[in-house]
Amino acid sequence: MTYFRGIFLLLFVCIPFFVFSQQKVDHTLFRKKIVEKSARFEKDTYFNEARSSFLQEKWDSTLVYTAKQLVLKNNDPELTNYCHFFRGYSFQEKKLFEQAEQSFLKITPDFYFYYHSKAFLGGNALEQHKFEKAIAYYKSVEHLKTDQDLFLEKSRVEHNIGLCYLHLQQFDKAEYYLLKSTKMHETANDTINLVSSYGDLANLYYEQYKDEKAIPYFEKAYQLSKYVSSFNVKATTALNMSIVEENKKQYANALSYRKEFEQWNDSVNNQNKIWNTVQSEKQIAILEKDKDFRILEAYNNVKIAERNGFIYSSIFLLILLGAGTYLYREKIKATKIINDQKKALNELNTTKDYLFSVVSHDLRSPVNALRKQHHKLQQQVVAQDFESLQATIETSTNISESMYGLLTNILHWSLEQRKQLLFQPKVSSLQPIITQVIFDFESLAAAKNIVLTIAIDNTIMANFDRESLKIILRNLIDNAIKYTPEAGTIEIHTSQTELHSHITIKDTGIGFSQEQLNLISNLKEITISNIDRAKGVGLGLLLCTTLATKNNGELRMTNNKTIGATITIVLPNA
Amino acid sequence: MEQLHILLLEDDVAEAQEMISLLNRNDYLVTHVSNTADALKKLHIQHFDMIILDIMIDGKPQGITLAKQLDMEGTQIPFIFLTSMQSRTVFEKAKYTKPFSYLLKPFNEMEFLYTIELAIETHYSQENTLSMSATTAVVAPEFFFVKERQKVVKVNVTTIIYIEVDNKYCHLICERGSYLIKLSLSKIKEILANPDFRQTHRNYLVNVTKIKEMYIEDNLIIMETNHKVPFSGRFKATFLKDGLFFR
Repeated sequence: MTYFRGIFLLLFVCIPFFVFSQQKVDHTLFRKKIVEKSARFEKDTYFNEARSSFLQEKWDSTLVYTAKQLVLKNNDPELTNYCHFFRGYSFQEKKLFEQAEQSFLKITPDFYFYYHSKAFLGGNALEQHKFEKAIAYYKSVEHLKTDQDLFLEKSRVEHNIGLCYLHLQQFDKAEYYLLKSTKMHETANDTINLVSSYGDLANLYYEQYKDEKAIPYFEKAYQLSKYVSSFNVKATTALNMSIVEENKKQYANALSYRKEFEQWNDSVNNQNKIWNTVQSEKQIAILEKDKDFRILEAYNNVKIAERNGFIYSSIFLLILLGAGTYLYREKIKATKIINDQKKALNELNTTKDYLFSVVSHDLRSPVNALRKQHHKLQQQVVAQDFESLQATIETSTNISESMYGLLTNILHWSLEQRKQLLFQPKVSSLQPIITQVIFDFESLAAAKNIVLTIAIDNTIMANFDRESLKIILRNLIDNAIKYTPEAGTIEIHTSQTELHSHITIKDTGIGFSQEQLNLISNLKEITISNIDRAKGVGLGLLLCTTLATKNNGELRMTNNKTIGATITIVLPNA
Repeated sequence: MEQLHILLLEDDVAEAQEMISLLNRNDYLVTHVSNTADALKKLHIQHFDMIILDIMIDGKPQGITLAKQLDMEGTQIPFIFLTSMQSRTVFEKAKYTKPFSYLLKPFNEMEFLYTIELAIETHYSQENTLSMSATTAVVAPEFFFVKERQKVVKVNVTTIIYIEVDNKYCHLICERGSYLIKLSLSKIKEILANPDFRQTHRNYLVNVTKIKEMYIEDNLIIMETNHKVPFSGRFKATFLKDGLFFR
């Protein structure tokens, strides 16, 4: 019996104490007040850290930071009080009651939360079963008028004082305080606390074996517990009822209460199980979320990788495109250069071929003729035929003269083709140049009885390169003499138009063949690629045309109406 | 009237001989050297009116090297380069960019004489003068060059009596006669740079040593050759102020 009561008592005592420190509404207010009151110490880093740890209920951190803050010298007394308060609270929460007590005791009475510390000290003492001490602490708080000052209900203080007296077996005082607190609970309509109060009162009377007083309270508690959601309370009241019934020997009732107790107890277990299930479900849900998150993250990573890949590949492609374009351009350039070079090479090759053919054909026959003349000379010397000797030597001289002319042409032409001809166009008079060239041909013409009629206007000034004009004139006069028969006439005269100066060489020779004229008139420009040597246009004419063009002039060739040819050199005026 | 003294640099003896006889035949005075060292020696000893030089001496283009060297020394002499090839390579390689005259071998006498005229014209920047007509002269600081039949001769500027503007150009009147000079009067004055030649009129440059009489009131000067030269206000003042003619 007594044994049961002991258990039962303990069961009952625990409930209010537990509820006391879990007052949600006041707790929030209490925290707000702490923040408000300690605002001026926010600059102190350690304190600030300690406070935020405290508000987040990280007790160990709070202890560390407050310790750091307390080590510092010259702390404000109020700041020190806060530190001790936080420390006491934290130790209390960690069930280190002695340390908590020491910390709370260091708080000075001028501290705003001084009475709080007292209340906590009361709780502390109660927890350590130092009931007298607890009563002392609670009594120092009891006189306070309003609840608001402490953020805790006065009824609880009264209740706890009652509890202390109950433990000390001072039943009169216990009854006084418990009844007082019960009344307060009744007026406050605080069902759950009322159940505890009724339980405690019942317990009080039961301890004194005042069963008639105790039982109604047990019943009241049991009845009230039906409106309370806590299974623990329901179970306790039911168990108490079963003990009461058992003591009354009402075993059937006791059994039913017992069953109810079991049921509520199961419910508590169930509730715990449900709680656990919910917790595990929550865990699973979190895991799922985590998984989703991971998947999303992985997905994001993939996307980022994809995007980066895209960027890199586009950059790569752009570079590739640029490089490709560059290479393509370079290739085109190179191709163009190669084509130009090819063209130039082709031209050079044609020139070279042409020169070879000139050398082999045009030079071969006169050399052969010269050879024959030399053989003839030898024979004539052997035969001592001195009369014929003179004629043979003359022929040889003529042959070598014409060969020299040909070679000179080859030289000039190749110089011109290689752009190596010294070319200095200057404004000069035509007269001295023409005179100088004719000077060389006077004897040749005389030998053929050709009359040279020269009519040069020595005021005519043209713009030309002297040496190239000489080459043209030499070739043309040489041809004229060559193709004009004995006793013919060659007329050389000059004239001038507004833009051009003309040198005309008119002979009474065989003239040009129709083929030659057609060819010349059809061609704007005579070059080696379009002349046909078989048709009688030789290197001399080619060179003359080229040089005339180079002097910004031209060569005009016609046949005379009666007989012979006329060639006109046209040069730009000064 | 003096012969032109020509320095001939030619290493081929036969060709040198031919040219010497040709030049002598035309009353040119020739000094022949066959290498550049000798040429330089001669040039430092005496004055030449012209140098005729073969570009290729001993197979090297020493002719141009010599010409460049003389240019750098500030020797002002007309050049004629002799070459057998009308190739510009050799000139380009030697970077010879000054206006020059050249003669292609082989050449006839007319071409040779013409080139001498050209060389003088080109050197004194008075083109188309000697080569165009016998009555045109080329003016140099100490001499003026004129054509005497086929050849060029030099005449001392002291024989000039006066120079008179004629349109764009000027007439030079000397003891021998009158020549056209294709330059402006101020340009001639600049070339002569001789205190004996003084301007008496916008159009007249007079050799003061040739003045016979002056009629200042009548603005008239009578020269030794009885040529009459006018005075003009502005030039008369400076002319009289200097008082150079009172000797």
